[in-house]
Amino acid sequence: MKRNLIRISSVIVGILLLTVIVFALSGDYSIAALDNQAVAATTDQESGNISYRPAETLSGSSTHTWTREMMLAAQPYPLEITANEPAVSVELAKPSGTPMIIPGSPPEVEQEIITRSEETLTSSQATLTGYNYPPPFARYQNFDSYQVYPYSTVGALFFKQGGVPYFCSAASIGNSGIWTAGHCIHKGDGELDSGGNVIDPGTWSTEVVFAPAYQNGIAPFGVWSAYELWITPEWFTSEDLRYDMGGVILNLNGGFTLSQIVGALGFAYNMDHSLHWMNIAYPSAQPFNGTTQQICAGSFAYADTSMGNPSPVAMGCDMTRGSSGGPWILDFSGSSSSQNYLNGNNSYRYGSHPVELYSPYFDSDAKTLWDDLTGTTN
Amino acid sequence: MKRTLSRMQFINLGLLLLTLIFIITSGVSNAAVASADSQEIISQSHDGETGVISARESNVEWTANQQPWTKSRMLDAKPYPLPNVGGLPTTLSELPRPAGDPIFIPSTPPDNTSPAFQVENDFENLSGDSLFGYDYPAPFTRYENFDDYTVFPYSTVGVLFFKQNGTDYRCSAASIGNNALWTAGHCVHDGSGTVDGWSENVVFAPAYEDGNTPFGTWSFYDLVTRVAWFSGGDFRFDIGGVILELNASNQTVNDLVGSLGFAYNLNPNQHWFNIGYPVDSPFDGKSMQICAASFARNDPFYTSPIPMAMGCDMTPGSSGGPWIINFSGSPGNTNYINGNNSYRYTGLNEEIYSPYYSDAAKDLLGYLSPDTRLRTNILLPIIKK
Repeated sequence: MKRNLIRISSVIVGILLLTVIVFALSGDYSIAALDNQAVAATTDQESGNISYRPAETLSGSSTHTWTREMMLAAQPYPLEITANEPAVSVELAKPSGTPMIIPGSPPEVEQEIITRSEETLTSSQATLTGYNYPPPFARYQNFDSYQVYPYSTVGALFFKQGGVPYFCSAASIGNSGIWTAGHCIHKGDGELDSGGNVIDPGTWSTEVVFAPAYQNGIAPFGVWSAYELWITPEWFTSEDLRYDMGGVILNLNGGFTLSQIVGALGFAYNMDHSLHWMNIAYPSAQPFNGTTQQICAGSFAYADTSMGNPSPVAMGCDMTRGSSGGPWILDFSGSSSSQNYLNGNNSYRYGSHPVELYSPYFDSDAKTLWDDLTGTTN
Repeated sequence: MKRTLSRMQFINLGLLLLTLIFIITSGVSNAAVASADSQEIISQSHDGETGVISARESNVEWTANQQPWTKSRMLDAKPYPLPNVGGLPTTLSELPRPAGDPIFIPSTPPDNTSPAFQVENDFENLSGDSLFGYDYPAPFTRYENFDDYTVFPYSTVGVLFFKQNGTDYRCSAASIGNNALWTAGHCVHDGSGTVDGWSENVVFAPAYEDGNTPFGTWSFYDLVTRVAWFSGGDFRFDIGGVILELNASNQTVNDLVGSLGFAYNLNPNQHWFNIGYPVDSPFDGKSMQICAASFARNDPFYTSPIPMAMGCDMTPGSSGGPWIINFSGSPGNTNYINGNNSYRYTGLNEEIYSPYYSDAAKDLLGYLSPDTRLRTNILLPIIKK
């Protein structure tokens, strides 16, 4: 069922066959996988986003495992950027697109795609919005069961980049998708030709697994392995922080999609900037240890206009490395009816500003990535 | 003698001392004098120095002559109207820095000892001097608590049932230690300046859920508010306290649910978790609702201490619900009450105002606390059965 949702272009099918042949001939799994990165990375010509199928997807069997010890030893992916100060403004350029929301879904419910019109979303725009640094926020450790929706949708993402085991945060979307920061998926060192086709695949994350509701080294729902990785073209080629968004389509686990077990967050984009988010992640650097779910609650503080449009948005939050990719949730709710809209992800912070975090602004480009990860075509 | 006192308003310290003597000399023995009357306010005390005013119920036992708060009576109690103020606040202004130091008093876990209040002044206040905020509507998240209500700190918040001017009402309130509660002033007195305006028959049901009281209920012993609220309904001082009697098992409310901390004289640029029991539509008063939001704006119609607004769409019944900073599942240097639901402007249904907590809030807290560092002077002794 899930497979039906994934657009498999004839190009990819061709590559798949070619790669299988290469594997069969070489008999050396890991080398074959590396050699075939160039042909395994493919551009969605409609959205411009780039996907990559790991070697184990192509071979149909996984050759790696993440033991508890390996999980606990994985490094939190760096979050800080070196510039001293952001160029901040409380004014965010209005997106050209229509604000849209797609409801989340509790476990075992097939996600129903509902879009709502601008009228239901746009309240009168406030004239004075936001906060100076440091913006107010609350941050606390989740003291409920992590297996309760929507906490269940957030988990730890384990992967390797350049051979180094890393750790990020991610969240369930759609049926088998997860959303995270782009830097947890790809190093941003790829190259595209003028038509958006992959010339140099750069450095994709490898051995990617997702452990939802991860707690104290335990993955209560098990781990899901990667079927296909997705990244925005802007991040792929140039580490553009405005597009530091990525995701993974996961394999079934025990015959179940991820969302059948943990539920899924919804999605909201092209929103105005008068928003309050619950930001859930697994910070790992001091004073945290990467084994607990931390929650920041805060409002839009300002936009980082030094990045240009669409300017990333900041909220107050003191989470550290490891929180990369953690979802910013609008209309947080334990209710089984809709809400829990993914509307941001932890992306970066300034070294001089330890109690704020930035996310890409989710506009229509973010929605195309969501489409690629969830198999939606509109 | 008792009858005469019950209708007198003591407005100077001399009479306060007289009352003290009366209470001390006659106090507990009066419990035996069970009358057929409903609960009566037998003493009202005003401390001219701290500006707090209190009323104590008679020591009549919670017996058959008292109409009990049954489950159905609780369900029928009306939400106390969340005062609607006319006009529209339109400007943002900076709040003057308070004269006092920011003070933080820790929260405590449920246990069997009365918590020792501590005064702390070593908190690094991260908020800057300059603030923005939000005009209406300010962003917020509001959700129904989907965790176990009996888990700290949710356990500390509950419904306050009472009768005021003959009508059964309900508000929200929170445990703040020493068998005392914090709530809105209008939930303990109607602001009319009269003795008759005090709430009666007050009971607290912490972690109230679907009409059930998982920890049981506590009945009141003493009510307190600011004189400015009592005499004129000044919303800058819409804060109130309740001292409870022990329950039938000789337990304080703190023994079973723990207590929130308390913080005052803070920079208003804060983020709060606001927990209450709204009753009017779309709510039904049976569930604990949580608003999470940052400081939105000041109310420009007031002078200092200026009430402050946060985004929140809770309805009547939420009055008195605590605004908590440093929200956490662990007691300690966490969960400081720093505001309470007080009023909203007509037509602006997605923001709620709270008094700003200055030394005036401290003085009220001092009345409820045995910690002498919080007390400007010694008021009535805390008497437990």
